[in-house]
Amino acid sequence: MSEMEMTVEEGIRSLCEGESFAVLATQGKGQPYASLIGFATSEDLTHLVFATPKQTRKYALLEEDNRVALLVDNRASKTGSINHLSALTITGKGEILTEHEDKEKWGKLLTDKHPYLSDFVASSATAIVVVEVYRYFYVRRFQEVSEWIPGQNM
Amino acid sequence: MDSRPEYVVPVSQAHQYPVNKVGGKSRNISFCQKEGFHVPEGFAVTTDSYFAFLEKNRVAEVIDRELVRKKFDEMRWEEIWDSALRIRHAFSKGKFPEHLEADIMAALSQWPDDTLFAVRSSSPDEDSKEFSFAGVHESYINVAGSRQVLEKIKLVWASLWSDRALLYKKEQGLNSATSAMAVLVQKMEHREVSGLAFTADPVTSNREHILVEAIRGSLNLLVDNKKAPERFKINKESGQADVDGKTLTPAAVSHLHKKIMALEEAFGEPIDIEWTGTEDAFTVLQVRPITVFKKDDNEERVWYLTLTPSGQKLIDLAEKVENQLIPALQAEGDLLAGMSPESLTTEELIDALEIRGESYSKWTKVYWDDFIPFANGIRNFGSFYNDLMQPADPYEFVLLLKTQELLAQKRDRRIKELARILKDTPSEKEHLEQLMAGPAIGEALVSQLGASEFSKAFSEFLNEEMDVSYDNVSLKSAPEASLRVILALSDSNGDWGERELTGVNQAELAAAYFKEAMRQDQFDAADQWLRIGRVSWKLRDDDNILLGKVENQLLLFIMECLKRLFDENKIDRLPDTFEITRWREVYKAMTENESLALTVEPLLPVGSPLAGNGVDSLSARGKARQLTGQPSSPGVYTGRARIIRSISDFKEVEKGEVLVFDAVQPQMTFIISLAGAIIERRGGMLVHSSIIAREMNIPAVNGVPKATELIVTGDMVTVNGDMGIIVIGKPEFEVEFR
Repeated sequence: MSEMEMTVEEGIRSLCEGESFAVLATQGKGQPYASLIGFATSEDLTHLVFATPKQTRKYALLEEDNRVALLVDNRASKTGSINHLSALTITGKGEILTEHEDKEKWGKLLTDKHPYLSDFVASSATAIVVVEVYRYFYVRRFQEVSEWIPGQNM
Repeated sequence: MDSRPEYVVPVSQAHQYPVNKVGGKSRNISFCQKEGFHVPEGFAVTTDSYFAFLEKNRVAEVIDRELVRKKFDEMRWEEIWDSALRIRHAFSKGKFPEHLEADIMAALSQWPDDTLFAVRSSSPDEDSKEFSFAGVHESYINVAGSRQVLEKIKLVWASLWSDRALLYKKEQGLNSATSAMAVLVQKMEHREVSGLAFTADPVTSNREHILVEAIRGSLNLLVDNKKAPERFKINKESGQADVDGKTLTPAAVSHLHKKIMALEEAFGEPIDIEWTGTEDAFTVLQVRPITVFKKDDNEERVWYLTLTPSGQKLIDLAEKVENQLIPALQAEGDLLAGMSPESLTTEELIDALEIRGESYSKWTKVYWDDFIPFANGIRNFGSFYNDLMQPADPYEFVLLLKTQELLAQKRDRRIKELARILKDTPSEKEHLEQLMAGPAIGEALVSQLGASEFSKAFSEFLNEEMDVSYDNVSLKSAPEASLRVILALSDSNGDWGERELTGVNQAELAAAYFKEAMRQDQFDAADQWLRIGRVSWKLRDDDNILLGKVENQLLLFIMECLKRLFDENKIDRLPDTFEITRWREVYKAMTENESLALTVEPLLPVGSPLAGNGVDSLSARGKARQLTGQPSSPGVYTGRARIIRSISDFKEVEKGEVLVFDAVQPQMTFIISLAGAIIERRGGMLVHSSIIAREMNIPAVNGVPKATELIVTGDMVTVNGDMGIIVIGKPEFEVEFR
């Protein structure tokens, strides 16, 4: 099915499952900060997981303020004009996992999608962050924007 | 070494190139020449040229923008035409890359300056066995001068994305990156006779005979249906022909037979041929393998093609519509309105119902068969104007079309006059406000207006302007709708929703138009197409109102019949309205005592926004934040949305609201006097809502899929008529709330 024919939910799922990377936006003392991350989403799209070394700015900023935004888009697979692109802006709250069980469960979700990250994810110097997604803002056809809240029957 | 693409290939060499470079037509004609047949001199402009032009002018972005704006199936034919117009405009305004122009000019310079050329589409897809795009893409003949050849090449390229082509291509998937067009430029050859030939019957596939159509003169007389050809068959084996010799001598027929048989042998399969000249000067103009002409089973496309009459067909239709049909419809509406149903005996009522029902059926058919196709007069003028004037705005031509007051404008003018009376007589206004706050509607409301100047003027207005039906409701019997508008307008301080045409003077524009037409030796055509465009412009609005009048007469008589059926206990209640298309059922209930169902399960029309596929559930769809459509009237406006589904929603409308419609009809456009902006599901730059919004200078966006579902009454919406965007929600909103 062409992306233009999908429902909003299908379009969001297609981007979350089809794209490997996202831009993570964090902030600190009014300064925005952006980083490229590999991510995976839960089946019901209510959560998103990524991993980060603890000695990074994004980790420090997350500890300070857990409100985040992420951008996922398909520009890498679609060449040419902006008219064929779609993008997701995701807002939510990040939680740095501390419990071993949680880390195992979410780490597996991440490494299932990104097998080459397994050593990185298993490392004690790596933090696993789970984002509770508030909202997805889905953009396609250049200017068409829909808002979707996961786990909620709108 | 110079590695730039080959932009131009001589006809003599085109057969050595792949079809995706030179197109089917160029390749076939080149093949004929290689096989020793005479063909006109010329050259192919390759698809590399097309892509170079696209890249220099960034036309692919314009094409993609139109193609992805919304699902193709949700586009109406008017929107497809709009998309095609904008794409054509992008080609037309484009400049040739320097090397490309130089190559074409060099190719043209081998012939004298006064040579006439044919500039033909040579698509990689057309003229192949799988596909017949015949007539879908443009070709131009008798093109004089190298500048004109260049202009026509652009238009042939643009025809890859014409409205017709878009309809044909939508099933094959549309992609600007993979579709391309080559062009065949040929020196015109005129001989005494010309014609078409088929080496197999395209309908029956019979291969025993050659079917020939021949005329004296050039081929375009035949192709454009300007002259009837002589038709005959030549037996392939014997060369015998059932021909009377008027067009071709027996020797010429015999020569034609030999040449065509040789051509078919060279191609190795049945072909159709356009040719000119016989005997020693037989020239092949075009040749292609015969596509089995299957009947087009796409009803929408077949219907669409009837909607775009041009040339003599359009001139004839204009004559018929303007001088016969519209006067007859008007007279019939007036005649039918001259009788009131209440005073009739039952027998007289039944007869009168039948007359009105038949009249309605007849005029509805005329509406679809003649009035809707005649609207193409506007588009026809638009294309002519744009080719002639090359304006910056492809819709500039609309400014020349407005000359006479439309019936809807006359009605709206009278509404404003009534609002003025009310404004000047506060006691009347107060009285009306009290009445409107009360329960009275319909006739009771009118009778309570009393005998004032306003009441008298309003009654006249109702009789003269509102004797039409909309959505199976007689507007005359729902006076509260227009009173609501009058009352609201009387509150405003002289802001009557009028607009002066700013910046553009119609007379100056017309003078420039005719001056340019004179310069290009096209004055008569310019005069004719403008005149027809103007008539088309006026009637496309008026016809709905005139038809609404006939419909209303049928509705009034149906309602009287229902009243009598109710009095005789044949139906259990008296409904407020009735679907007039079911008039025959009422007739039968009256004459044959058949029972009458007052309500039927509504059948959702195909393409109805509610007739969804079920998959697109509300939750899967998400909450719309920003919708896109066509920017049909400029400006930006934020206000509360009100969904208008029927006339009963009119009485709630507050001045300044954003009115959201599924489809706007001229019978009810008076409500737009109160609107701050308009949103419509149905799209088109020339539909009623676009015209009225531009006239009133309020922003409008149309062609918004599911507009009346995704927007809810009370939503704050921002209508961006410059960009064609609607933002739902307060302009300032919190990004996050947790």
